[in-house]
Amino acid sequence: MSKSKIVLVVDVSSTALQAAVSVMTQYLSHRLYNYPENQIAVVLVGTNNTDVSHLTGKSDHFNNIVISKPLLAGDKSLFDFIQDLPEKYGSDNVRVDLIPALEVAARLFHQEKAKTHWMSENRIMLFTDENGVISSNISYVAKEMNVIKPQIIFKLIGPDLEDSQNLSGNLKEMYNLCAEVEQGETLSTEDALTITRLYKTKKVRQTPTFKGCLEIGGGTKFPVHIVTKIIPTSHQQSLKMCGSTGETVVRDRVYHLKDENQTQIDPDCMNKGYRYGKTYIPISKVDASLMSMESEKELALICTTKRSNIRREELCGKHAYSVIPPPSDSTGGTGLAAFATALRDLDMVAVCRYVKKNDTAPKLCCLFPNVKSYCATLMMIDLPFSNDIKKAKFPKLRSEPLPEQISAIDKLIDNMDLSTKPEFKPSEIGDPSIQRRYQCVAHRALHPVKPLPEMDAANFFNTPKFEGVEDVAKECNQVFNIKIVESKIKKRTAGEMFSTDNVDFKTEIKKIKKEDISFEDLLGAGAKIGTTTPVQDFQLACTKLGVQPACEMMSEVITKLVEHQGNNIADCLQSIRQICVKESLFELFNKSLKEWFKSEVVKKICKEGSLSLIHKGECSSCPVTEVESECFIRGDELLQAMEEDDDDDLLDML
Amino acid sequence: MDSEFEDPFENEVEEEGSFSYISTLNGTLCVVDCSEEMLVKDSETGVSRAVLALEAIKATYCNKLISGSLDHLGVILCGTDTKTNDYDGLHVLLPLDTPDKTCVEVLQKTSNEFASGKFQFGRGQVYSPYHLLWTCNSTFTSCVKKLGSRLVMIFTNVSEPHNLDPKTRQLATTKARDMSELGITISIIPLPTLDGSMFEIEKFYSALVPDHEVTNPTKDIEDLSMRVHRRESKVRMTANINFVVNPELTIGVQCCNLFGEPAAKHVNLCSKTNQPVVTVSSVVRETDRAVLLPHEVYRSCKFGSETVIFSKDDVEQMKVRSDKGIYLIGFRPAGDIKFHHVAGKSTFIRPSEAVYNGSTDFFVTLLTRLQAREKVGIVHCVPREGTPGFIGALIPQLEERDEDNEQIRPMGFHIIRLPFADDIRKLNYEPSIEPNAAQVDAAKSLILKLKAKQFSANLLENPEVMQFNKTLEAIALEKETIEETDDSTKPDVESMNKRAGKEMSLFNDVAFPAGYSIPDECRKPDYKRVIALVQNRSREGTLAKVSVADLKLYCQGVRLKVPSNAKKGDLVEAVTKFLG
Repeated sequence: MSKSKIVLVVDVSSTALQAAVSVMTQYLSHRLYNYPENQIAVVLVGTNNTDVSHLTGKSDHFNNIVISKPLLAGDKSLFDFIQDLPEKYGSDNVRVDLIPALEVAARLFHQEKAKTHWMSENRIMLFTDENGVISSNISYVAKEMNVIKPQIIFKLIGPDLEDSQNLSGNLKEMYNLCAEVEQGETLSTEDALTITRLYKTKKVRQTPTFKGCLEIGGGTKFPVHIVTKIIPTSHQQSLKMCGSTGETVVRDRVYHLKDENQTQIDPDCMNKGYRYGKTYIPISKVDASLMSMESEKELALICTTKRSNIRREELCGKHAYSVIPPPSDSTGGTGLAAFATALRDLDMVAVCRYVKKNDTAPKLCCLFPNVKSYCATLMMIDLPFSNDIKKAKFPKLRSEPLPEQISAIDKLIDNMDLSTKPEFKPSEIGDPSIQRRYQCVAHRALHPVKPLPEMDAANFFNTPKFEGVEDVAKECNQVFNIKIVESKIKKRTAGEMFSTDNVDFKTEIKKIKKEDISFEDLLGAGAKIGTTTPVQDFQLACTKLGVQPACEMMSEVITKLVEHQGNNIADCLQSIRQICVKESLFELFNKSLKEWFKSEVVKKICKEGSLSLIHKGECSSCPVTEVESECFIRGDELLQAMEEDDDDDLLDML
Repeated sequence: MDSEFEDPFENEVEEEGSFSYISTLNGTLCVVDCSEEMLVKDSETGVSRAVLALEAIKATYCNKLISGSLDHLGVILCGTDTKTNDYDGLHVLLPLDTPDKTCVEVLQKTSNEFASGKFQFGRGQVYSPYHLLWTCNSTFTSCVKKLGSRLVMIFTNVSEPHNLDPKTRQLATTKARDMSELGITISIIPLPTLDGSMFEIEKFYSALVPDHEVTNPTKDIEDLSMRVHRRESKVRMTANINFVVNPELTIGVQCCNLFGEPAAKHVNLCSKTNQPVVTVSSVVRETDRAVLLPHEVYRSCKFGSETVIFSKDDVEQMKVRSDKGIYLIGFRPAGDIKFHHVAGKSTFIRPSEAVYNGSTDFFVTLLTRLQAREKVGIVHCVPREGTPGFIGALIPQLEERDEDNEQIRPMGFHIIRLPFADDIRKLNYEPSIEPNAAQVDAAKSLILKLKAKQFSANLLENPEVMQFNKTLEAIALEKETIEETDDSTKPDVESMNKRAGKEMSLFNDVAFPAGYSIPDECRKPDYKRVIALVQNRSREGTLAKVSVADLKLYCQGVRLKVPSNAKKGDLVEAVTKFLG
């Protein structure tokens, strides 16, 4: 429809002129956004003067008709002109016969080259309240209009046209004219206003994307056409890049290596690289040709199956198609209808392989019946392949709802029942971003200097309201005990952190600045030597708490580490031994070491680092001799023997 | 083209739907027990359990390689003769890293050795499960990359490791608990025992993984690979989002995409050096080649003969914005959701207690009640801040398990995208002559003959993706031949004819009267005739006499590429050149 021509015939003597202006403004701005190439003419009738200079040929029998705008692409001046109509002609007009104006309109089409194109249509829209006289021959004009190709679509728009049965006088005559014109239609002003209020995307001609046969095995073939039923609509026009005054711009792409010189690369000297683990595998054009598949255009049945085997959530496609018989093939249509009806009766679907064109990737599709009272056809949707389905495992959700929880949920479901709101049907909600784009473009075109308007709330889907739903929600909140989890770390803004009146924070800083930090302050009250940095903790504890309690603490930690086979035992042993030697705490150390020594790990560490019992050579008061100490790390048996010997020796000495 | 250089405005429609995820790497360590029981060949199949495990791990590696993901994998053998970190009986076969092709080779080699009875690393040694867990833990902690999830998978058929003393048992249990607190998941994959007795998880492993679900062991390699794959891809891609039932009632949910495979991404490489190529793009004024800065680039659109211009800020203002979240609108009977109202991939949601306590209870109760009452929710779903969002249906799904107690479907809601009114086209249907009962009955018997009882969408693989993967793999591994892809979508015409030949001819007899012929436009082009014709004419040297339509058909038939608007002269030239 992008090459259409529209002639607006406006009866300026009409009482509904203001309403007509509103309809025209809305209609034209939809039209110009959808089809910028449309040509629009305005013919005024009922004016005091006459100006038909735009017509070629004999035109002297026309009176009170002005061709204000010839057939031209629409722009802002057209809208300004329409806006000014009531002011200019509201009082300055006469009631005349409208039929000659239609003749003028028809002749405007005539003088254009009559080239039939599927993208073009001719349109006459007559805005009137029809209270004038009709003296001309209606059938003559109708005949005149009907000969023009492509056929004229004639719309009569005026008040009181709702009830076509009870029309009187001139209105009835005009109505008859509509009936005589092959594509005539009447519309009341109110209806026209409602229709043009919401922006609608342009209509798309129904063209088959596939013509072929649905093949079942080698035996049965149904001739079919496939037409698109559902397709994601993009915006009517994409926003093209341009300079600040609308000048053309182009995108420049440069390819270079990541080296120092940024060596430029010719786009022809590039291969695509696909990730394979850590590396990229280059795929040359020859390799790429190996990857493409050879396939032949077809729609072939693979199997039939129960409808319940197709899971709704698994469908990933964005398109749905209608599979219909070719027009004018009624026999084939009946065959397809029989197949569709049988599928419906059995509640089954047909799984098919679909190749749209030769050498394109085959798709998996599912055909299911679409049976209406007057025809039975099939619908087609894409099915996922096994690659499309991720097999993820999730932990079980454990919950045993209480009876009051169940009843609260039931109340919620009953309350928010959308079947009581017929006006809210998901499939009837328009895409708000499409409406918004139109709103902004139309606004900017008609008011170039004004800022963009706010989003029109009416264009966004309005969710239905349910009475008393708040109470039910509150009840649910209560029975399920839903609470916001308080974040453990209190978030503070930078302002709070650095503000000088923040008392808490100031004291915190003070605390850190205190010079005499005690061990408790650093590690918290009741702190113990930790297992992560035991050596450092131990050294700190020695200076702050005294050696004896620190060593006791440390030996406890080592016991724990030995139990859990920590990896820093060696360092711990080394440091505690040093301190114990220095402070003559040999009893504590030797006693503990004997305990720890039962562990294989400690044994190994002691052997490697020759860490043994503290002996006389190190602490003079220690009863353990150097030999005993050495024997200790060498082995249990020797030590035991020695210990026994020891006792004897001592006795002997005494 | 690299996505980062794409025009952000042009992409806006595409972006609106997808959820943004916290994308992180997954880390998985596979542990294969090399105890005597694992290495003995099965009396039926002749394949040992360890080989089975290695094959399943290899399949996981191959999957990872092909998918091009950067996830980390590693393999540890236990019960070997070698030492790792001074611990006896452990051998790190493959360190935790992004896999490359050598990994597959190592796995293949090891698997072959195991199969032929050679054990390079020794076998059947005693090892401590505590040391094993300790090694796993330290492998994870020493990994430089930040891992989003960490999983240890233990393949074994020994219910209780040998020579297990109470102390080691205690230590292992404690270690396992510590690891689970650190977010490391341990999963046991039981393999069939030798004597056919049950794998008793209670003996030892249930202490490591208290809430482990017991599944029946399997001997089937595909089944095993599938289980490994399921576990491995278990904890993935979650985004937290609020589910707003009403301003008074909000719960927290997590969402993830379970369906739809993203297309393979590529980078540009220099064909000489195979170095990656950087693309720099700029916007240039056509008249004087001046480079425009981003704020100097405006957008334009036609409105009649006017050109409407928008600045970058205007374009931002033109976007429809909603706050991120899932907003419940109401409930409808499940039957109201039309099968063909498709608008893209669905999203799976599960409750999350991270922000709202009590979310799980509410979620599960709502789900079970909707399921019981055969209703669905209608929601306005805004996956990203500042996008308009879409209308979706909440479809409840209960948990389903197979006979081996393996989870097939998890519990949760699917949010199905519904099309907007603008996306649905109004079509004109021509009234058709109603079929008679005999015709419908014949169709019924034909349909029933061709019925597949167990059809499900995951039976057939995408031949295009398979072909791509196989070629990529062949090039990567420098294979000489590329494995043939058999197109799984090709119908088995022969057996269909055999099964339902009678029904087909019966249906043809009742539905299509004698003398009926398929309209020309729906017939398959007769390539044979055209090829013969063109060859004859070419021999005679009168190629110019063949009609344009036939020439085009010939090019199609012999897969000769010509521009669609080619003139007769061009066609003749192309065909002559083609025929030599």
